[in-house]
Amino acid sequence: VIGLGGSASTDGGTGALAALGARFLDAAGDDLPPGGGALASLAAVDTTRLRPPPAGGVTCLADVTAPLLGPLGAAAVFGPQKGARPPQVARLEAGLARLAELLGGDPGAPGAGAAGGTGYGLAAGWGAALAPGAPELARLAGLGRAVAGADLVVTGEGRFDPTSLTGKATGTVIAAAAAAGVPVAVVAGQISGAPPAAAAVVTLAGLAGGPRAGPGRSGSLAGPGRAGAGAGPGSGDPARHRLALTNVREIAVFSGSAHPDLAAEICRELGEPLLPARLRRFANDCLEVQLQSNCRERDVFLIQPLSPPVQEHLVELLLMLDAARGASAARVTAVIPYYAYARSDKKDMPRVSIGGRLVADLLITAGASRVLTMTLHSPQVHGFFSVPVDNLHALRELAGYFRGHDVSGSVVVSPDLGYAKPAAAFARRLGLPVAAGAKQRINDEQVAISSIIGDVDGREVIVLDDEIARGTSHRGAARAPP
Amino acid sequence: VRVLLAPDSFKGSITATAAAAALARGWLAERPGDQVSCLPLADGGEGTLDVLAAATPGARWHRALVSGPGNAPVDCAWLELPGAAAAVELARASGLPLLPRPDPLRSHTVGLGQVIGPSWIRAPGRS
Repeated sequence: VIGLGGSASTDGGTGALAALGARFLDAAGDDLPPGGGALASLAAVDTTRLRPPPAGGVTCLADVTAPLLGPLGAAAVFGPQKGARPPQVARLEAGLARLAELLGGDPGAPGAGAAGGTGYGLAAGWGAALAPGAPELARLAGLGRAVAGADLVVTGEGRFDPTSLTGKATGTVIAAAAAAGVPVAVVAGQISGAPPAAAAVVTLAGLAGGPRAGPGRSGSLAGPGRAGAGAGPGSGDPARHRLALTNVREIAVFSGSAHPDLAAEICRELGEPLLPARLRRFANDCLEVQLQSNCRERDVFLIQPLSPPVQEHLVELLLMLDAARGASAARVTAVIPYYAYARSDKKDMPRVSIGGRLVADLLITAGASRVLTMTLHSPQVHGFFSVPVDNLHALRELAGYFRGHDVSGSVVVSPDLGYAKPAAAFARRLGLPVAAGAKQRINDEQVAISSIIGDVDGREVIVLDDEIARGTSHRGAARAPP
Repeated sequence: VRVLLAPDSFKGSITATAAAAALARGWLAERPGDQVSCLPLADGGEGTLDVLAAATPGARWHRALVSGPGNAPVDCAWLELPGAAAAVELARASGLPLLPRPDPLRSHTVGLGQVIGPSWIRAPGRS
């Protein structure tokens, strides 16, 4: 029995047949290199030394019913999932077509296109029988008996789409449950297309607020009484979502030395333990980090604001990222509430470094697969990262604070024009006018605010800014001529 | 209430066995009195041997070191089934996650052939 599916290649099974003794030759009579890319130059197949198949025969359990060739075939449909760009897909298709010319057999058989054409190769080259995997495995696993003894069946997969109902495991379960008259619920990462009416459906993407969550398709699985009743609208009740969210990987939270109190508070809020990390300094001043808890296949979060001493904290974070990646973490998120280097985002003088970009590259190189930060000094710093970045802000919370006070007759002032946009958004939340200072930076510590654009005369002023080093901008703004 | 949890794998995220276990944990956290059973499934791809092993009394695991899809060695498990049969899983020998990065033109299924060889020799009673 050979399970076919999830392959990296589109070699028509030639690699497997070659390992079993077949030879795939080019026009000069030399062995082709392995891989689907070379098959287009295939000139002859020599099966004289191919080992015979076992006497009991060979059954291939195919995960798809695709044929070998054509628009529904192994190269066109599955090549792109394995990284092939359009010209490479065409080359793989040509290779598989050439193989089919020389090997014969039935390239149109359902499942011939499974595992990059390995279904075809083993059928045509080694006499294997092709069978759809899901129903066969469900039968072997005793699905029918198990369904009959249940009051509710829950099935699911990463992505549920119309093809899930044709010979896939999820579709097999739904059919078996329907036949037995047992209600069925589907949990999937993502749903595309209409789910069957008989099933209640929960999408993890919908629960997590993912971009492709289908509106009105999130059902509730908390009470089996409801689960069989059909897909209801998402309830938004966190307790009801807890069941499906347990499918998400376990998380592991570590803190660097920059702000352990913040990390401890985050963990208290999450109800997760803050896991221990050890920081060691060698005699030569080099650092070493050891994460002292299991990270394997976990969703790891490393909390480290880049507060002074910035360089110490940065290197420490880089070492933690490296340690987490080396420990086979499933995903590593750098939680950097203060991304200090964000201020260095352009070459505003000749021959200056752009630290914001460089540090982003360092974090990714060290192993960050995602970055969680706050109030980046300028929004374009977001674009320095080639991994997902969540840039949180606290304007809503700050506005909530001011709403508790009488702020009528106040004005929101941004000390410089660069921050006028968030200041305007903040002022809108409070229903206040906005003004901005025209700021000139003399050096790192000194600024001059020549004038204020907007009306501040006789008003209470709320200054909004993202970062204060020494407060000179704000002293300047307070003194600036209207 | 008797609940049957029979998921496929969540490709690239978790195996069917882990998905079923996670569903069971969540379900029992909400309704500890229910009778929950797990039946992880597969379709021929990843997890196929786990399903076969769970469904077949007397199945025995073996290991073989084979060439992965990008030539790096892969420790590939296969299953000896009662009655002179063996089961192998392409995803374990030549699967996409075994490559550090996709290589559509040069990746191959040599490892599958290499694991078929020993599985078939080792399975006893072969005529």
